[in-house]
Amino acid sequence: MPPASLQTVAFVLIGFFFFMYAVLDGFDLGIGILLPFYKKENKAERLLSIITPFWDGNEVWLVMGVGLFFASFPLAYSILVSSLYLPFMVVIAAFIVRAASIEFSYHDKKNIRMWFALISIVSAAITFLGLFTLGLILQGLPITREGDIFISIRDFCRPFPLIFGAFGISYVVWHSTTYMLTKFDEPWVRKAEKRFWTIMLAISAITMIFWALTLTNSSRHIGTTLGAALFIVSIVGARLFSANPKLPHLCSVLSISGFFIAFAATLFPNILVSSLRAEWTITLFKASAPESSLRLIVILIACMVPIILGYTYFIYRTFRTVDSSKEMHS
Amino acid sequence: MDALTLSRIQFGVSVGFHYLLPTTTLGLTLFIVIFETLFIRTKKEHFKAASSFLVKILGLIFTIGVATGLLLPFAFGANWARFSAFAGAIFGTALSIEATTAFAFESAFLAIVIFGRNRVSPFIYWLSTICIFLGSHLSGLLIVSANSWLQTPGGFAIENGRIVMTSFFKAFINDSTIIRYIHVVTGAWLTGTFFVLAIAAYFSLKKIHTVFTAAVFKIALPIALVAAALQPLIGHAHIMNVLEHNPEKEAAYEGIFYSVDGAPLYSFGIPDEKNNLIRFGIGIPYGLSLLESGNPKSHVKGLLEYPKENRPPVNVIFTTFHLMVMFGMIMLCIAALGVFLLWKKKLAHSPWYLAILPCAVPIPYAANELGWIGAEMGRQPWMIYNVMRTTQASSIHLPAWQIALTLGGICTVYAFLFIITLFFLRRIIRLGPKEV
Ligand code: HDD
Ligand code: HEM
Ligand code: HEM
Repeated sequence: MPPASLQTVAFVLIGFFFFMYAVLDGFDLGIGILLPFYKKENKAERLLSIITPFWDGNEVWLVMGVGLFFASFPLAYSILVSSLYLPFMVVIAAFIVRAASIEFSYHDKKNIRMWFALISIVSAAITFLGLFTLGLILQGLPITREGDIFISIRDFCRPFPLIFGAFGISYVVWHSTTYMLTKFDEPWVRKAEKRFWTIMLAISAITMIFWALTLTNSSRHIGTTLGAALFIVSIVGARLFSANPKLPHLCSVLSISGFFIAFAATLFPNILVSSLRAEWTITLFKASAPESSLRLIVILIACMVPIILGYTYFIYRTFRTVDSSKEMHS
Repeated sequence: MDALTLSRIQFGVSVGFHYLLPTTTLGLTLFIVIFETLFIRTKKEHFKAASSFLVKILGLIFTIGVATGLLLPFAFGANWARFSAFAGAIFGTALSIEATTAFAFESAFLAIVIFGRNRVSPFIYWLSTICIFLGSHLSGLLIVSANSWLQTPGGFAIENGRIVMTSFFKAFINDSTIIRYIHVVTGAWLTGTFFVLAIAAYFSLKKIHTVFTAAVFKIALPIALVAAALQPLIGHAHIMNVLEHNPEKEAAYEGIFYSVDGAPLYSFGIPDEKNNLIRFGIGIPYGLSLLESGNPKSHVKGLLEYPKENRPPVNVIFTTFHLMVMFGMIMLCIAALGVFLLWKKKLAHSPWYLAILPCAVPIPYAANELGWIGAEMGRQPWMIYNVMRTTQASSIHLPAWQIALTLGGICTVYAFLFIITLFFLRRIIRLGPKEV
């Protein structure tokens, strides 16, 4: 396989890992955000119990995505992470606090409300900053000829990344309600799903308008429009087929794939678009690792994906029925 | 304090704190697999209770291990951008393989081990404990082979200014991977034994959970003795490897400044880098020559023979190395004494010994940290030995104040994490295993 197609396969695999992360950890983050808002009849504890066995495994998809990004495009990885140093460190701190708070909430029943509040704040921070970074990448970063980025506060206050962040929070919250529906088909869940669907719809509309306006020059129009179309069709579908408790969640997964198709199509074949001058953009080719290790890592990871999906499915099947939270920490 | 020093401290602190958890994870999974296997074979309930008790502890330790581990893949890109761009072909590949093969595997099956005992058959449950044992040990192998590549780089070429992998095996099974991995795993299992022994001794002193303590003493003490006895031998092989591939580091470890025929083996001394001598050095004359080549008069090359800019910080690594060896010997004595008392059936009623064990828990952790600090600071001034200096490795445009900010943040978050984790660990231990 010539290097160019190796780079494309690596790009697609990284996209797939982040897509799986968005789908799986998406509902962990959404539930995390919602935990403090459900006070009565231990609804919050029941919500936590449907993510308890999965959230750690779901987080590994992000580690796999970052690892593959480092291995396949080390130049882009090092420039992105070192130039957005503080935002990335805040996201990591949020991840550390989330992991710790979830674990401590099992052991510390006395002030579980405090842990739920902490989980909610950091889950919102992770979602917002995660999508904020994707927005920054799409919008373009001030990359100089030597491939350095001198980020200033002004770059952070641009509307597009902020809208992306807000879209992220509204989306994961709705996505988590569709996941809840697959576990408890109860009135309070249906009400929440309907309410957060409308909020998400509004913010998605704004995001799509901004996306179309700011990125008119994006070369790959077909892919972006296809992705956007899939996104719209799926979230409408989620409303139409909401009678069956399983379908909204499936539609949500489809709309996330639509989002990632649009995102990848807009970005491809670049990784870090330079907002200063077009030829300073870091393309897949420029950032790519040498062919020998790229070939090895792409082939190995491609073989591992079905195996990982296999045992992840086995784990989800083992824990498909919701047991009382007592069993969760027997 | 310049940006480079801050980055070095930050990386040392974050990996150093993270490492407390993997050693415990590797040690605990060993005992969980042993108890689970005994339960599958003998069907005795107390083995199941013991395994479930350790699994509850593992649940807490593992999650904090994940929390502290998440920072590290980003730390390379953030603080060491030039290194990541230069050596991404091998280092990035190592991290990517580790995440995709080891982390995914251990995190998935951990769900069954911690939450799924009554959802799967005893055989599948036993298999899941094997999976988390293999997963965590595989992640240890891959990350230690990545670190060993920094110490003894192999299987690479430098083409237009960056590392290109020429041979996968030479890169990942490089010259010091195997011995370092064996040394690290023995250290982790030693940590696991002292962790479990401390709990058993605590129960035994309070005369509670006697079935659990009897089983633990019978199993953990012999393993502790074997691991503690093997570690000096493995350590010796490790020294010979370092002597062969990183001679400056070996000279600094042993405190040999001037080349001499028949060098002494210091067991204690205060290193003085500026004046190139070891003050109050107590040791075995000709010991080092004997150790290195079996001939007491053999020539040992001194540190001063190597260019000044290539010498590691002797004051630090002479001390960390000798402390690690000392702690290793202390653990050997404790384990030997324990096995003797166990053999004489006097263990249960020798409270003086049972009181030592809980206090001895920090010793393996200290030995592990000292070992790594010695290995990593001993690698200085190189980031990749003889290829890239640490001064060339750091991120150029990262201002020092940002690193100071994040270092402060990491230290506070990790301090809280440490205290709260110990608090809940104590609570789990006081609850103890289910009475059977
Ligand atoms: C010899 C053992 C060892 C060493 C030296 C390290 N780790 Fe580690 N790491 C583990 C052994 C381990 C582990 C036992 O596999 C952990 C601890 C608990 C766990 O979940 O997996 C882990 C967790 C862990 C995680 C979270 C995985 C997950 O989400 O399940 C990441 C991303 C890293 N590590 C990365 C690193 C990096 C980049 C290191 C080097 C600088 C490093 N670790 C040193
Ligand atoms: C596991 C326990 C480990 C501990 C306690 C540890 C400790 C340290 C310390 C103290 C430093 C600072 C030394 C100095 O800069 O003078 C350091 C630096 C570093 N270590 Fe480690 N280390 C560990 C494992 C690893 C591993 C597994 C890797 C690579 C996979 C690694 C890679 C590095 C790098 C890249 C630096 C920064 C550059 C440098 O300072 O040399 N370390 N580590
Ligand atoms: C008792 C005699 C011991 C000897 C002679 C010995 C020898 C060594 C040597 C030479 C190194 C440095 C290798 C390098 O620079 O890369 C080392 C590192 C290390 N040691 Fe020890 N050691 C001993 C005991 C222990 C014990 C008891 C533990 C833990 C319980 C331990 C844990 C470690 C670790 C974690 C490292 C860092 C990883 C590595 O570089 O191998 N050692 N040891």
